[in-house]
Amino acid sequence: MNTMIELRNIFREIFDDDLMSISQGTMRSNLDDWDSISHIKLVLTIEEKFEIRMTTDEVASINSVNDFLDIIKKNN
Amino acid sequence: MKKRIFTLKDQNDFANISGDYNPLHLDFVFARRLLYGRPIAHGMHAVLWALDSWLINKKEKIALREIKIDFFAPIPVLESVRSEILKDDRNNQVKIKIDVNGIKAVIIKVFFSSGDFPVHDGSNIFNQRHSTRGECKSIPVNSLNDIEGTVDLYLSRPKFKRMFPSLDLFSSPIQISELMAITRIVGMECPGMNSIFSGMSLIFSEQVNSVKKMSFSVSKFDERFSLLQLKINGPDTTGKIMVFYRPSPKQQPNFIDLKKYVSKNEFSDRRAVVIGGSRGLGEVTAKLLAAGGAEVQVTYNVGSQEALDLVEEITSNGGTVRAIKFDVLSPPLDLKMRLGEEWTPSHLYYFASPFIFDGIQGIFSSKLYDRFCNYYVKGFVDTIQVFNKIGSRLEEVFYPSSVAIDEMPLDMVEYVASKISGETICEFLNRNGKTTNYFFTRLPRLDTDQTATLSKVENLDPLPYVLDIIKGVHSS
Repeated sequence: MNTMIELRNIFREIFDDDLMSISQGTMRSNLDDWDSISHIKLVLTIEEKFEIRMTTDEVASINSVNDFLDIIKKNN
Repeated sequence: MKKRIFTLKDQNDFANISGDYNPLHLDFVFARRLLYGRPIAHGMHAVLWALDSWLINKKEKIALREIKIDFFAPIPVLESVRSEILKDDRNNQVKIKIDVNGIKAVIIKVFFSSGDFPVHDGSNIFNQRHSTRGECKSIPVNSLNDIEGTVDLYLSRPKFKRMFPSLDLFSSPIQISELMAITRIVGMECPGMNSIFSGMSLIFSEQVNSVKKMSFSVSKFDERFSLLQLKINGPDTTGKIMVFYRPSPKQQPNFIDLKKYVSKNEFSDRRAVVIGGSRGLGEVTAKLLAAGGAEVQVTYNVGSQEALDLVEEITSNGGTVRAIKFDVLSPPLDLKMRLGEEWTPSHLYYFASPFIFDGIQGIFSSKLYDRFCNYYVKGFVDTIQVFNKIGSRLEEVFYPSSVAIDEMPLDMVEYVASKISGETICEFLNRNGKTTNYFFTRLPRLDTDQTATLSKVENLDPLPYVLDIIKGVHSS
């Protein structure tokens, strides 16, 4: 399973944009739609997909795609 | 594309047919203390309007097979709302977006079948009278895990037809009654009062059972986000709904508890006016001043009951306080009479504020900036002027500024700009040669109704900051 591809698909689903592209460096501050509600939806979908559970501190610390990658790697 | 605004009358009409009387959607005074600062449209109301708008042009009978709804932002009453069909293809799929002032609020995805189906009849499945107003339940957060129940299905066809004529003509009344039941479950039953609808995913079968009820049960509660997941079953549908458990209005410390932080006569030389003193920082300020022996008058605009409750709490425990109505957007001409002819204030604390967290990241809204300036600049100046006009000799006036000026959050530019203006006004008034000392403090994010959020954000206790303000530990 290619993690970046899976993450991209999740971002596309949550932000409802079939053409959205992301990179490791994509930051929360760069995406206007990445607000608190979208953040929660991203976390829940990623948790379900990768069968992991993030702590409250980890959730609060995520500001980029790279942060998600680190957490997925750490939990797997 | 269709446009509209949702008025309070629209909201009341929808509550009448759906049975969802949650005050978040109906009561301006109640809703102003909640997450969005004013009433918001029922999520299901917006969804049904969007579907009705779609069916106006489609003009064929449909039966839902799957529906997925995601709510991204609230739809405040009196704001401009737009519904747009993003996809309507030959695979019997439609995708609809609802936005508010250009910002995405709802995405609806529907798979449907076209044609006349048994679900279009079945009026024996639900009760045809409109639902009576039930109790909006308030379930404590630690009791959520075991909740289950049922709600009856209702649909008053004549009333529904008036509001959603195309849905009435072209869709299944059974399925509509189920969607109505869902908003009633969320807004009145579980979690009821403290609910914010987040989304749902339903599958509809071709078989319809004869049970005139929809059942629900809690399948999961995620404490990290206060997010509840419910399983639901109806005559022809199963699915899940996601609901946030929103925070309740913030209860500030009571007067008796605050007495220990000040000496009995510490402020006995003060006659203090607290503008916006019925809740939040104003409430804490009023209580501490009264606890220290000050004569206090708090002002309110719409929160009269809160102000009266505050007066009762303080006076019944030995403090001196009155409440007067005062609108900073239109200060009263009879202020002297309201204060009392012989009562001259010495200190004024200005806490009037609209709902703060209304900005959008990266966008400057002139309308929002004007709203903030009306309170934080013009309202402040007009208030000072009307007090000066009645001969007040104010020794000190406090203006609450914000650390947001230093932090510059990208979704608060209008707020920051208006607070900077407020600070400038204070400095100007100080230089203007009068005897009054105008001082401000850049306050951090304090725990009040305004700062409540769905996610876990640390809000600081207001008490030490208010103590500093009233004890004179400040700079201007």
